[in-house]
Amino acid sequence: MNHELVILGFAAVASTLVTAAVAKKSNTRFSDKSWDELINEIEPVNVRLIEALALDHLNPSTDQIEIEPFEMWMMIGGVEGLVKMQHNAEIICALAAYAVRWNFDEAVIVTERIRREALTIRRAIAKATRYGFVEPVKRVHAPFHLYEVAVAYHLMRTRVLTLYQASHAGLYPQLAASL
Amino acid sequence: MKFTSAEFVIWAACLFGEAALALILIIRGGIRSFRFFSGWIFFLLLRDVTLFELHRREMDDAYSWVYWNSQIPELALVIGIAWDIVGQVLRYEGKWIWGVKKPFILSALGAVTLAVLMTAALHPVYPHTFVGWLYPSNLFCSVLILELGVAVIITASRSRLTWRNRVNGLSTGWMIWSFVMFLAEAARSYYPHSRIDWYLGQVRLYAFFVAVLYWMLVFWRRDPERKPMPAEMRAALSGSFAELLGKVETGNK
Repeated sequence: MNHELVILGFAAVASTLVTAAVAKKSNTRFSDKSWDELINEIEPVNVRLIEALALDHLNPSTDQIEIEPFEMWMMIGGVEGLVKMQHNAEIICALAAYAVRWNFDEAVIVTERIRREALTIRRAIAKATRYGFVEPVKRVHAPFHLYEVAVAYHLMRTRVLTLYQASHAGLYPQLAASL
Repeated sequence: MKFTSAEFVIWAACLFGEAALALILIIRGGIRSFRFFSGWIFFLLLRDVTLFELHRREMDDAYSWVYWNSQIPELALVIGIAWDIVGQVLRYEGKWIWGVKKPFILSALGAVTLAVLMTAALHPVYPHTFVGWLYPSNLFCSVLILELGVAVIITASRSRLTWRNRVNGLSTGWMIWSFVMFLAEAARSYYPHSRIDWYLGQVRLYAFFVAVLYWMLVFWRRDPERKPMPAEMRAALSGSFAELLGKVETGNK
């Protein structure tokens, strides 16, 4: 019996259990919060610049390489911006799920769409930051993923605002101001 | 085969617990949603009643035969319980929810790999045949069951899927019990016939009994009613564009 292998095996099993517990806890992080608590958790991001980047991707102009990679990075807000967008994406998911109680038919579909966009954001951020911005030879990959992040965030934000406009006009102004 | 008084009491308690849980699953409708779990509980009940009777008649050979030969069908049911949980959390009306199939399959393969590696590393003193690896009460299966549960939890959490009460309760009890089983089996392999081996063996029995009591409570409570979903929503949630297109075309006629 190889004792080192045994220890490694126990460590592997223990780490999977800890990962599962942390993942489960983070998944329910926002489900117990009230609507006001969720709104207060939203981190400010530069919505206009993110929207501009998203629309540049969605509505191609005659000059499709106008925005340089480093400009995209600035528009997104750098690493801090990516972290905030990922954080806000989870809150937007929770807010969309909240709307199910007022508008079941539409909110269920919108919640699922927002969930998919939140996954897209997470995967795109992981790919965009995998190579970093310090290796010029690999910089070519990151801009494509930054576009994905901007588009997904723009769509999530627009969807949840439109949902609240239709489902709970009373809360819409506060939500629009926070997002 | 001789049992101590304490072992006999806990064994009898587990038997009554299984019977009560089986009754609750029938009365409260758990059978419909958790077929493999219900099947496993009924199987355990039938097996334990049989073993109880064989022990009472001091038919040790028959006891041994029933105990060991019931392991393979039990394994099938145990793997089925993982499928029950997957069906409730990662699938909707028989279809995989968008974005979870590939991550779950990769995680499940990782679970199998870790179970194989762990068993190879610990090199249990038994079983002596490959078939013995497939006994749920042995090390390979205890690690596999535990890690399959981990795979479902991680996949669901990263895909931002929510858990309904019963499946949440089932998987919580399942994870705790399978972890205790893993520790007991690891001790049996690493320190065979030792005090630690004996203690953890006892803890395993008590852990199963506590898990059964917990599941009784979980399945006694009802899940909130799901609102019925129209076909359009079902198609959108399962990502079936063909279904959605079919509905749109039907509506246009």
